[in-house]
Amino acid sequence: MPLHGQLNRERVRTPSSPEYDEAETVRRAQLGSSTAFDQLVRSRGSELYRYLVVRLRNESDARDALQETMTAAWKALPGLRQPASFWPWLVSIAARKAIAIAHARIPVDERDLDLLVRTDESLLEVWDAVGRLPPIQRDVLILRYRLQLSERETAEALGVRVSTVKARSYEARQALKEQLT
Amino acid sequence: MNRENDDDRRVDDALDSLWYGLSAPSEVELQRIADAAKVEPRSLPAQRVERGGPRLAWAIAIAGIALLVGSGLGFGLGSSVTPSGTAAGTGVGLGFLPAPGWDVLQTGAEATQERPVIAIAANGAFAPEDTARGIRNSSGLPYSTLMALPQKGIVIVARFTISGQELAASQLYPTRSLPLRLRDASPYTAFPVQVRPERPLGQYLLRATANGQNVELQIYFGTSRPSPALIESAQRQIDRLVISSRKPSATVNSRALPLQPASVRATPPSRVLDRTLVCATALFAGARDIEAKGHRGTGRSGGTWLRPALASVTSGPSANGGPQNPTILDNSLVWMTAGRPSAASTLVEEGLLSDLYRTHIWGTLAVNAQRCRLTKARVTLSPRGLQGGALGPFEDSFSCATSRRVVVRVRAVVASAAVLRSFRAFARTTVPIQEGELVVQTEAGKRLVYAEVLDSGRARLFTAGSCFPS
Repeated sequence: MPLHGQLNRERVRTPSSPEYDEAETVRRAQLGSSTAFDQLVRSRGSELYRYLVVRLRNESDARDALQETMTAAWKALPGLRQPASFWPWLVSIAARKAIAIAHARIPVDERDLDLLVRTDESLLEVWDAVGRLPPIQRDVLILRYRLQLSERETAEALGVRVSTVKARSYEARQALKEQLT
Repeated sequence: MNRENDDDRRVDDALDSLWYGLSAPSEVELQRIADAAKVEPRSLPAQRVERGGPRLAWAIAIAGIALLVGSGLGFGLGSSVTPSGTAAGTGVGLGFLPAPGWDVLQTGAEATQERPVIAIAANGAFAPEDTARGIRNSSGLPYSTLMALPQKGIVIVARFTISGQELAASQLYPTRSLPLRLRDASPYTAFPVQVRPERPLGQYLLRATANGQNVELQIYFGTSRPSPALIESAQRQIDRLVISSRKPSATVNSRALPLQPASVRATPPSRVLDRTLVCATALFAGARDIEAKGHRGTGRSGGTWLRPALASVTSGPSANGGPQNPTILDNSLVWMTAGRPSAASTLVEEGLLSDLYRTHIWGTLAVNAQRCRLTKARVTLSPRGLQGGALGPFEDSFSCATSRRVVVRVRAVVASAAVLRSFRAFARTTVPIQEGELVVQTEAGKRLVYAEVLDSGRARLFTAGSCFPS
């Protein structure tokens, strides 16, 4: 079933430059390289921001969460033991920040159209359909199929069991199929 | 099977279109996020802090010798008079409670402006010359210890004077709460340029007013690039800084009561943010005043403003980002903008550093959390009795003489439910404001300032007759 997602995995995970070695960049950032950290933020920030927008559905909250995520990452980076697992580690920080921010606010039902670069009907339909999913399903869907985390990485990032990830992933896709057909 | 594959493909395509239909921060915005993140100090890396018996035993041996040598020379060995391992807040007096493995020298006297109290902490042994000379009659700098400081060595020098004795100089000591945070320290090479030029030390300066005392911390690391472990070790000793010189007062109840209920519920998000605060004003050149300023919105493009309507109140000298005022906005008590700011909108318009103060990062509404606290005072949002009117596109500002504290009420209707979150020295929201009002009055109730901003770009400012254009 997730064939499409698997095919996209390398495309999404590998930043644009073929010479770019993320693990090496992480190592340099751990040693205090400011430039290396900048590079990590620039290469991963947009994807993370999109996840936070989908999760929180509010531009201001998403920006706050992104800032808090990167600040936490900067502070905790020296303690990251496996530079190669930087991306799932960063996503797990973002997921926790998103949960904390979502808990601390009253849900806003208004559509924030500034979040979308275009507002055609089909895009709004998908936006609304994803918005109707429970937060955990939204998280699993984005982490698995857009941020390309494995089931185990997704489970660790969200603090749930792998079986929960499988179940919520299936439910989310089924719900979207029904809503989009 | 084909039907299922088609459905899956449809879901993936839908997610694709949504994903790439979402706006994303520009490279410039991401760089600003990275810059803001890097302001925070790094935490301890995975390896453990080196601590060990031999080092502790060596320190104890040195401490014993130093106690014998120094007891008649006008200083006390901190570990001999204050129990090690005790939290800083439980101590009485001025100085350091030594962290495990640290030695402390301190004068232990009452601070005066002429003779500050000095306390010095080191994570190793002091040089014999420094202990023999004693610190009361020296410059207060353990020069020999610093000259021989090993790469993993740390020396922290604390000087205490009574807050309020130095008029204009008091501006150098921002009010901070204990424990002081090393991350607030600034690199310090102005005096004495560099103690050890051939092998430069990492020199930092942190000034604060706490518990009625001005304290200046000079932190010296044995290397100009201290490791996170070394920094954290210094912070542990700073956590043990004792500033408790005021004797117990008969009016203790006035400082303790009434105690607010120990509610753990956070303020829920709301479309209306309404806070009343009492804020400390700054003493500058022997006088206290506030400055109210603002302008109407300009540069509207689509739904955003390049310069949203702004009203703000500051107190104290305009900062330049130097060691005493880490950011230009630190003298702000409150600011609010109305309308959605553009990504390029800044709260500071002049100077090369203005780009560092983007409105969507620093906040559309903010109150100074270090200089203000919530109060139950009643403040009416009205310009009655004040003079003023609509603001133009250029900034207008008025100075008003005040006492030590002013009461500020700020009320804003925001575009979506929001809370004020901590950011640097401020509590702020980045949610656009539709309409906002603020009032500043004295504690006695005399109204000084009224300001209003609207997302239409309109802004009004009214001030008391005693205020004058600045």
